[in-house]
Amino acid sequence: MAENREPTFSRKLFLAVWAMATLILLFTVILLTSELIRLGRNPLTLPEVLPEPMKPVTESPSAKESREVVLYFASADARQLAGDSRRLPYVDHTVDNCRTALEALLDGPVTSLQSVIPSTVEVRGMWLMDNGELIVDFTYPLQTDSRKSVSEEALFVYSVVNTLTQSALQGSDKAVVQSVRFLIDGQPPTNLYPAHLNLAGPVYPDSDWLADAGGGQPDDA
Amino acid sequence: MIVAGRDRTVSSLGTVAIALLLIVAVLVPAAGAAAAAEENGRVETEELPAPDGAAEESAPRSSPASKPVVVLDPGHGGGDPGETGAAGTREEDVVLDIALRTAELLADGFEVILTRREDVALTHEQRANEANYRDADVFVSIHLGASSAVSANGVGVFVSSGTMTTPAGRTIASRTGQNGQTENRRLAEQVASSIHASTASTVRGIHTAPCRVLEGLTMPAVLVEAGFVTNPVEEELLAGESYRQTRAEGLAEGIRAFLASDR
Repeated sequence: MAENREPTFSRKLFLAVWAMATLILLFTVILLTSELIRLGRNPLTLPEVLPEPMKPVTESPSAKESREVVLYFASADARQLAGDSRRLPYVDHTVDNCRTALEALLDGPVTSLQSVIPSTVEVRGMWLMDNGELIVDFTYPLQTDSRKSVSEEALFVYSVVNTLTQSALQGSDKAVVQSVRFLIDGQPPTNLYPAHLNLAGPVYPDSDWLADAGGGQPDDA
Repeated sequence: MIVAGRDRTVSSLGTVAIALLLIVAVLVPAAGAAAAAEENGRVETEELPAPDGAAEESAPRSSPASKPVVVLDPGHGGGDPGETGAAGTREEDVVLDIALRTAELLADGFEVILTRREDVALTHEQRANEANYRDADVFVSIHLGASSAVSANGVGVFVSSGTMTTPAGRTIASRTGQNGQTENRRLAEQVASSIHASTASTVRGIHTAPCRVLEGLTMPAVLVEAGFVTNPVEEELLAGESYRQTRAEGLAEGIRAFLASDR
């Protein structure tokens, strides 16, 4: 009778395989859980919904109308920023209007104002995030061809930021640019450029640099 | 019997496999967690904001009646010459000379510390850490301007754009009774006004900017551009001793006036 209750070889094999499969599954669950914990995520919650992919700028849609936009260039003595009003094509998407404005800024002033962006610099890409942060990726010559002083670097940064955050660029998509994050050749800026300013985070507009706002309290005496 | 023996062998193999899997299941996540902890520790160490860390271990003053501490920071140095003028005047040399002259002018009433006294390279964090560690009363970083517009000239004074709400800004507030930005502005105004009075040269104004070297400082701080090395006229002046001396006198007077009004 006792011999009859002894499990057969095939049954033992099945049990062993089943146990191993269960352990492998358990092992996988443990590994996944520990990895999630290591990444700071709660393994008991559903995966976070990823933000919508950034919106790359492609071809500019055909403009149906134009709008008055202020481009900020350095004043003739390169102390502050002065506005240069231009009539630029206006389309539905804010990010497209920003690209048009930035291209006009790169083309330079038509008045006695000074451009603080080297003529070798181009824009690689531009993305507008849901939180109002506009990411602008400049080409590498920005790092190699720019003058490296606090004044010149700050004029560059605020000429771009004050230009791109103006409400005149807001399209009918109602997207708003609140700040600008800078990239150079796809990477966050290092201390090679700007050498004096910290551009690790987004930059908000600063009217302190605008001549019309009396920024900087210049002393001509 | 043969079948029974093979059964035992399979059973033993199964047991060993299960035991091995259990060991792996326990040890691998533990090793992964240990590696992750080590990695996190390394990242935290690297990303720890040095200025704040240094502020916590600041050396207390030797006595309450000790002289005010002024930290002068000649920019650039070492492998980083800063900007160079068309005639070859190097920013790192000019600002070091102005800083040494300013230190000499302040030596009688203040404890003056220079972040560098020779041609050595320092990071922004090292400069700020030095000032925080010394529990300085004032920090002045000295640079030169450079512009693609060759006509650009004069003296520019910059204050940090982020000292209102940072831990460093709160430290300034607790030691001065004012918020960080107010104190920085007051120091900037004193320095700009004194430089203008001593040299009659153009003062380009006081601006806010996210200057790396001013971040995390726990005392009133400004960055001064003492002239434009890209302006041919000003470069020639900056190459001369008398111009540097008057710049140093303006700086020293501005710092002295700020600390006098602070007491």
